[in-house]
Amino acid sequence: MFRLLTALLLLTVAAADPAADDATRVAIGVLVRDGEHNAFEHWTPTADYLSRQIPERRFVIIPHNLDGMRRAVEHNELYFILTYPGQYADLQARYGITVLATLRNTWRDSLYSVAGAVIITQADRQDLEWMQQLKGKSFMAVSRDDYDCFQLAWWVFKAHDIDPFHDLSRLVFSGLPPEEIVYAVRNRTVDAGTVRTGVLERMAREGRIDLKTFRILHPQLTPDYPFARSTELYPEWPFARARGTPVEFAQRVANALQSMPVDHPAALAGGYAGWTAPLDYQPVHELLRDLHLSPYEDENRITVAAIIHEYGSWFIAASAFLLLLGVSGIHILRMNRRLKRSKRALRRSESALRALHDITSRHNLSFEGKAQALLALGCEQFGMPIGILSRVEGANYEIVEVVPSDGPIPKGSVFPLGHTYCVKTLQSAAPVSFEHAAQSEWRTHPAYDPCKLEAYLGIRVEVEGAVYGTLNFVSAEPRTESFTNSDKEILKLMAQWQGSEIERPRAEAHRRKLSTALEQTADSVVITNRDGVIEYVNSAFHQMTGYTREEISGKTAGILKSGKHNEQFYRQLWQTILQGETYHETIINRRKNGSLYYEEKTITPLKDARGDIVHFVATGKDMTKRRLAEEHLRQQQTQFAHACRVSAMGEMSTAIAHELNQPLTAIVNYAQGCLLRLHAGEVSRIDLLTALEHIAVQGRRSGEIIRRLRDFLRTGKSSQRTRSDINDIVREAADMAGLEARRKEITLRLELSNDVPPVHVDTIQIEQVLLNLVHNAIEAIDAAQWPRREVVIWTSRNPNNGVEVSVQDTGPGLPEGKGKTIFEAFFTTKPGGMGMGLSISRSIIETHGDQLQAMPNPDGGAIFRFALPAIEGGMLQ
Amino acid sequence: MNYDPNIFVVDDDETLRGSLRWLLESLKLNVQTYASAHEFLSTYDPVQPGCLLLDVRMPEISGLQLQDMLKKRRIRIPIIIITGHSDVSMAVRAMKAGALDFIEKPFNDQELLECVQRALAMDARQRGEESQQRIAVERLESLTPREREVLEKVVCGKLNKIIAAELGISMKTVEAHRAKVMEKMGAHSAFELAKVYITGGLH
Repeated sequence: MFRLLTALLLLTVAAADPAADDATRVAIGVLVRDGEHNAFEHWTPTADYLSRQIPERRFVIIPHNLDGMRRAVEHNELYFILTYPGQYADLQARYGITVLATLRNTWRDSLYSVAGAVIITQADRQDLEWMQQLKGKSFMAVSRDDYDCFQLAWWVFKAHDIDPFHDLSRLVFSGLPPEEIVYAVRNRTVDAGTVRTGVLERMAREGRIDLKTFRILHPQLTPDYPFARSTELYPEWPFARARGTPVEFAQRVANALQSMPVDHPAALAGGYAGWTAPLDYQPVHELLRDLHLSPYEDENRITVAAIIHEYGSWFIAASAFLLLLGVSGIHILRMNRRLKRSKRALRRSESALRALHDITSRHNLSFEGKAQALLALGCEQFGMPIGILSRVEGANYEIVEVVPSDGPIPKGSVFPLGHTYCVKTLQSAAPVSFEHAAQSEWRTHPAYDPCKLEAYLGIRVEVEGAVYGTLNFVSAEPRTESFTNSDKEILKLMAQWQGSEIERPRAEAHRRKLSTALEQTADSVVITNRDGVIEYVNSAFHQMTGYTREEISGKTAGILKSGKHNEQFYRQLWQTILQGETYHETIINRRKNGSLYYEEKTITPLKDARGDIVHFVATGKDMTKRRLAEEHLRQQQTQFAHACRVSAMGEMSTAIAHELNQPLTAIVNYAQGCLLRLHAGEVSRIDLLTALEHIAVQGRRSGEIIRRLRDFLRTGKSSQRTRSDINDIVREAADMAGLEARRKEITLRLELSNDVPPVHVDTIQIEQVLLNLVHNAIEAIDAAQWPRREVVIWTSRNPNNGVEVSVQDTGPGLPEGKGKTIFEAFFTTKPGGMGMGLSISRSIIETHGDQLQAMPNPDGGAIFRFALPAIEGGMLQ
Repeated sequence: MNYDPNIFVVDDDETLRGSLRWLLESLKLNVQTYASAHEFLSTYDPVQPGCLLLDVRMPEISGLQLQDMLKKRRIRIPIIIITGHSDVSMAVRAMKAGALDFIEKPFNDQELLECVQRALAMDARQRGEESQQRIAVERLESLTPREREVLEKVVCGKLNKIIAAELGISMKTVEAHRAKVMEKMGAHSAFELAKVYITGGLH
C-alpha cells in the first residue's frame, strides 16, 4: 500500500517535471548535425560529467534535428538545450530559453568562445578578388539552415548587395562534413564556398591542404583571433535552460559546466575546451532580423488586415481628406482654363526645343552652318527679322554670324561697342529685352538713333567662363506682344549651346595635346575602371611590359603581379586608393616574358562630380636598372663595411683581450679558492654555492663578450634592416667601445633620451658607425694626452620626428682646414690608421637617408652627428 | 688594535675584488677590499700591518698614481701590482717606482700566495726596523746635553781619559756619565751603544 502511494507520488512529480520517466532524469536536447550516433558519442560524456557533479540527478542526451528541437521545447520535454546560436536565438524569442554557458574552443593553447565564417576561393583567381565578383559564380555551403557559416556569409552577401539565391550561377548545399567544401573549392568544382572559421587552419595543420592555394574573400582584420575569417564573430554554441527548469538547479548546472577543466575527457570527447560564462547573443538576433529568418521571418511582410488593424484611425482621416478633395475639385476646374492657355505657349517652346535639339545633333553641319541655323530658329521663334552672334573684344563689336546673311548688316563688320544695345546685355547674366524702344527710356540709348531698332532680345555668350559676345535678335518694327519667360529660357539655352559650340574646338585641341603627351611620355600610363579593369595603356606601358593594348584591355592590372608582394601589400594598395588617396610605392611587377621589373608607381583615383571614384590612373617609372645598381652598390658597401669592422676589431684587440681577462681571472680565482677550501675540508655549502654561482655568471659574461664580437663581425650579404631602438644600439656600441675607453682611462658617458621613436636600420652598421666615431674620439684624446678625457653619446628626438645621434669628445678637435676631406677614403690623422672609418661611416649613414656631419664642439673637441628617420606609423610589419 | 696582517685589495672591478677576497680567504688571510684609490686612502690606517694588491689600471687615480701618493705620505706598505698581460710596460714602471712585485691575471694561487707572503714578511721587517728606531730616538732624547756629549765621543771610539781631557772634567765624572748613558740607552757594550746611536740618529 505504502509502495503504491510512493509510486503514485513519483508519477505525479514526473508528470509535472518536463519530459521525465523518473524524477532524477534530466533531458538535454542536443542538435544533431551529422547523425544521432555522433551526437551521443560527442555529448554523452558531458551528460555523464554533469551526473557526477550533481549526483542526485541523471543527465541524458536527447538528439533532435531543428524541427524536433523546436517541438521538444514547445512541449516542454527538455530541461536543457544545446544547439547552434541561430536556433538558440529563435527559441529564446519564442519559448524564453536562456543561456547558461557558452562553449569554448582551443587552438594552439589559446581559448576562444566566438566563431565566424570564412569565404574562400582559389588564390590564383584574378576574376575573384572581392565580393561583388561572386555574382554569376558558383558557391558552396553546408546547408541553408547552417547558422555557423552560410547564414553569416549570407549576411556578408547582403551587405554587398548580392542575393545568394538569385545572383549566383549556382548555390550548392553540400551537407556535412565541411571539408568537402574546401576540397570542392580547391578542385575548382565550385568557384567559392564558405566554411566555419578554423576548418581551413585545422586542415592545413593536418597537412590536408595548403593555405596558400586559397584566397580569403572579404578578409577581416583579426588581431586577437587565430583564424582567417570573412564575417563578424558571433558567440559559440550556448548551453541553455528551458523556461520550466528551476533557476536554482540551472545555476548548479551552469557552475558545473563553467568549472569543467579545459582538458576534461568530456570536453575532449565533445571536441571543445570547456565552457565560459554566457556571452551576449544579441548580435545573433540582429543577424537573424537582417536576414528575415525565424523568429523574424514575418517582419516587413505587409497584409491588408495588418494595415487595417494597425492603421484603422488613419482610414478615417483619409476619408475626411477625400471629402475635402471633392470640394476643391470645383476650384480646380476653374484653374484648368488658365492651364490650357499656358499649354499652348508650352507647346510652342517645346517645338523650339525640338528644333534646337535637331540643330545641335546635326554632326555634318559646320560651325557656321549650325550658328546660321540657330539664328534662323531664333528669328522664327521670337518673331524677329534679324539675328546676330557677336564677338566683343575690348571696345569692338564684331558680327560673327548674322541672319539674314544678305541683309543690311554684313558678316564680319565691326562697330564700336558703345553704339550697340549689347553694352547693357554684356553686363547682365539674364536676357535683356524691350518691345518698343521709342516708348521706353531705350530711345535715349546711343544705339537707338542711327538705326531706329525698336525691339531687342539679347543675352551674353560665355566661353570657358569668360564673356565672349552676345546672341541677339532685333527688329525695326515694335513688337505687339511682350517677350515671355519661356522665350527668355529658350534664348538662354541657345546661348549656352552656342558657347559650348565655340568652346568645343578649343577643348578638343587641348585634349589632343594632352593625349599626345600621354602617348609619348616615357612613363607608363594605365587607366582602369573602378574595379581595376584596364581601359587604356600608353605605348610606354607596352615597351615596359611587353603587353600590347589589345592584349591587356579588359584585363585587370593583376596580370602584372609578380608574386613578390604579399596579400597585405595589395590590400594596402586598394585600401589607399579606394579611400580616394594617391598611392605611391615601388612595386615589383612581371613582364609578359616573365622577367621582373621594378616600377615606381603612382596611382591616383579619378572622381566624378559627386566625388565618387570612377577611374584610376596609374603612372609608372621603370626603376629596374637603378634598383639593380643600388642593390649592387649596397652589397659592395656591406662587404666593405664588414672589412672595416674586422680592421676596427684588430685595432681594439688589446682592449678586448683585457676585457675577456677580467671574467677569466675571476673564474680562476673562485675555482682555485673552491679547490683550496675543499682540500682543507672546511667550506660551507652556502659559500661553495655562492662561489660557483659567481663562476657561472663570469662564464656567461665572457660568452656575452664573444657573442657581441661575433655579431659585430657577422658578414651580411646585404643590409638587413629591422625595427630597432636606437638607445639599445648605442648601449651595445658603448659596451664594446667602453673596453677601450677604460683602458685609456677615458670616461664614456651616455645621454640617452627616452622620448625617441623606433627606427628602421641595419643595427650592426649603425653600431659600426658609433663604434668608429667613439674609437676615433678615444684615440684623438689619448694621442694628444688631453687632460679632459670624456666622450659623450647623445640621442634625442629631432624636429622631423626622427632620431638624432651625436658623439662628442673633449679631444684636440677637428684637423684645421681639412673640412670635408676627413670623410674621404684614406684620410687619416692617426699614425697607424687606414683612413677608412669615417668614409664607410658616412656611406652607411647616407644609405640610411642622412648625412654624417662633423663640427667643432663649443667646449673644445669635436662633435659628429647624424639623424635617422623614424618608422612611419604602422607602415612596416 | 688588530695587528694581524691584512691584504688590502684595490681594484675597480667588483667581480675581481670578490674573487680575490674568496681566493685569499681560502688561504686564511685577512682581506680588505676597496673599489678605488680614494676609498683606500680615506680608510687606510698606516699602523695596520699588511700589503697592498693594486690594480694598475683604474679610472681617476691609477695604480701608479696611488703608489706615488703613498710614497709622498711616507707610507711604506709593500705593493704588489695586478696587471693584465698587455700591461707589462706599466708593471715595469711600477716596479721601478718601488713596487715589490707584480702578478699577471689570471693568477696562479701558488704564485699569489708566495708573492703575498713575501710582501707580508717585508712589511713585518720594515715595521720591526721602524720600532727599533723609534725606541732609539726616544732614548737619545732622554739624555742630558752632557750625557749626549759623552755618548757622541764614546761612539767615536774615544777612551774615557781623552773624553775627560776634552770636556775638562774628571775621569770619575766621565765614567758616571757613561754608566748613566749605557743604562738609558739599554746597551751593554760600546758596540750596542753605537748601534742604538746609529739607528736613532738616522733621522
